[in-house]
Amino acid sequence: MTELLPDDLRRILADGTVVSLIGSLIILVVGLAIARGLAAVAARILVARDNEQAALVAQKFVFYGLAVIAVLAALDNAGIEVGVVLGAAGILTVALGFASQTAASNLISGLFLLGERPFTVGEVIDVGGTRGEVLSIDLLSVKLRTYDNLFVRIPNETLIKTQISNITRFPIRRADLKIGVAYKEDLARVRDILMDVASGNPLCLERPVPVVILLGYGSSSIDIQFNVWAAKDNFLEMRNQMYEQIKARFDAEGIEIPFPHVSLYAGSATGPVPVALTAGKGMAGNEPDDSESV
Amino acid sequence: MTEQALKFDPFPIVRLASARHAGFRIGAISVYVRRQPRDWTVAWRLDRDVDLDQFEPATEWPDDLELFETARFGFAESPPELSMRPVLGDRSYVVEPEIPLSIPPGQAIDLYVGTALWMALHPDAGPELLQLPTVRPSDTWFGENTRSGELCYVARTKARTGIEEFEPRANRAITPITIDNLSTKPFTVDHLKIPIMLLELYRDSENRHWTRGLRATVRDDRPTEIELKPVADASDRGWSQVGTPRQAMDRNLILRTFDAFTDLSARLI
Repeated sequence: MTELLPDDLRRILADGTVVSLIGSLIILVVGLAIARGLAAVAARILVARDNEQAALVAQKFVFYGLAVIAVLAALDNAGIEVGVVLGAAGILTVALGFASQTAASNLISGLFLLGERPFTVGEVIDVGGTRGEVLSIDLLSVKLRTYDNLFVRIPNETLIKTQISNITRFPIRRADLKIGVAYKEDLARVRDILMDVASGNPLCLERPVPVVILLGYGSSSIDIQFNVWAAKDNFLEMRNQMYEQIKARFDAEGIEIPFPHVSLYAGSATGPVPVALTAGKGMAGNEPDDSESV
Repeated sequence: MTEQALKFDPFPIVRLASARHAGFRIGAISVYVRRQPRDWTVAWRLDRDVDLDQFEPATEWPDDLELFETARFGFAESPPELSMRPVLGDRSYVVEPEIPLSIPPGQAIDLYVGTALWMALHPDAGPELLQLPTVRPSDTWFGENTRSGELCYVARTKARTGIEEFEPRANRAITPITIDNLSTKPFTVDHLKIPIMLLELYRDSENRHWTRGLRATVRDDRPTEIELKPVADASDRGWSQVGTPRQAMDRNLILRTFDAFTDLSARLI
């Protein structure tokens, strides 16, 4: 049996099958190594241009694209007819395409998102009421971390169709403070006090200049919108401080912040509403059994 | 009163025996420091409505410590000295003259503006532990729109045009600025950005703080050019350097100092 082996080996070698298989393996390994290297280079170039999410996707595209070429070259070298494989793959692709319309739609949407760049990793966005920090932008979906620390996956197709608000794109933000003052107040004085409070708060930007807008006569107050600006990192702190300081200052200056007033009318006779206090039946205690009308 | 050795300097060196404390106020800040065998505790508070022009030592450890911010620094053996060194602010300043100053064509003027100093706490000759502003200036935005620009501090000033009119303050650094209007139109200084992070800090023989000077040249056919005055100018005046710039020089950054600033408020309602 040992004598037969060299003959078999010789025959197999003469046949060339093993050689071509080894060649295919080398093509595959080298091809995949090149694909990985070029993908890393593409990613590095895009990272250097501050486009991290495009880098992530480009890395995958370059790698898988070159990997497919390497596999096809390896198959060709092994003597397998690539055309037949591709034909089969084409039929398979059509079948898969019908079965995975949603995935394809998300994939295409992901490419549009990358081109448009409405947000980048690390920015805070609001999508249909879901607000959070962008963790990653992938081929099929975008991952967010919401402020209550939930992980949210939003399909790219949804993002393309929905209005997105990018909260942290610009370095400064405006807070619209809603304030109501009583009708009796002097509005010029209210305006001066508001501007003074804004000027005294170091987080409230001096420019753009704060603006007082009179919204109109409300049901129980004159409604005012006070527009003040802050650096995006100080936005919440500034807004809280301003509400606190405006209330304290209004209290100190005797400016009334009214709450809703409700008036009761007794039909067409708008005189005083008759009220009767009755003690007695079913009540505990020793209240006198009399009644009083008001 | 605790044992303390404070130099009556706006930025003192505090030398304390273990388990002793000291405190002082300058500008809007009250600072207390306490030394323990293996740590230093620093407590500070900024008052919005106070801006003391002079250094005021305090004796008692504050009763209302909950109103203070605190930091504690551990050592194998706590160093006996804590020095408070003056440093310039961590952002550019936008100087707004109380009355905008118009410079006719062909005129060159000297302006003096004061900006608040920060204090950096160092144990002996060790690395910096903490930086505290002696006054917290208001934030402001310097840019042509709300999308691009720079977050700065604002300094409202009389923009004195002679040093003899200038009233130096203990916790302010004076920046001398020469504006040379070589254009054919009057040049109005209503918003002036001082790139304070690019400037060195000096101290003169009277303990006043100065930054390296700036020179702005206004021409018709090109953007206003800003250059730093030569350092020799500082040493000629007998200033000694006490601080290095926070940031390396970037020419593009300072070219925007005088660029037209649009009043944004009308467009932003």
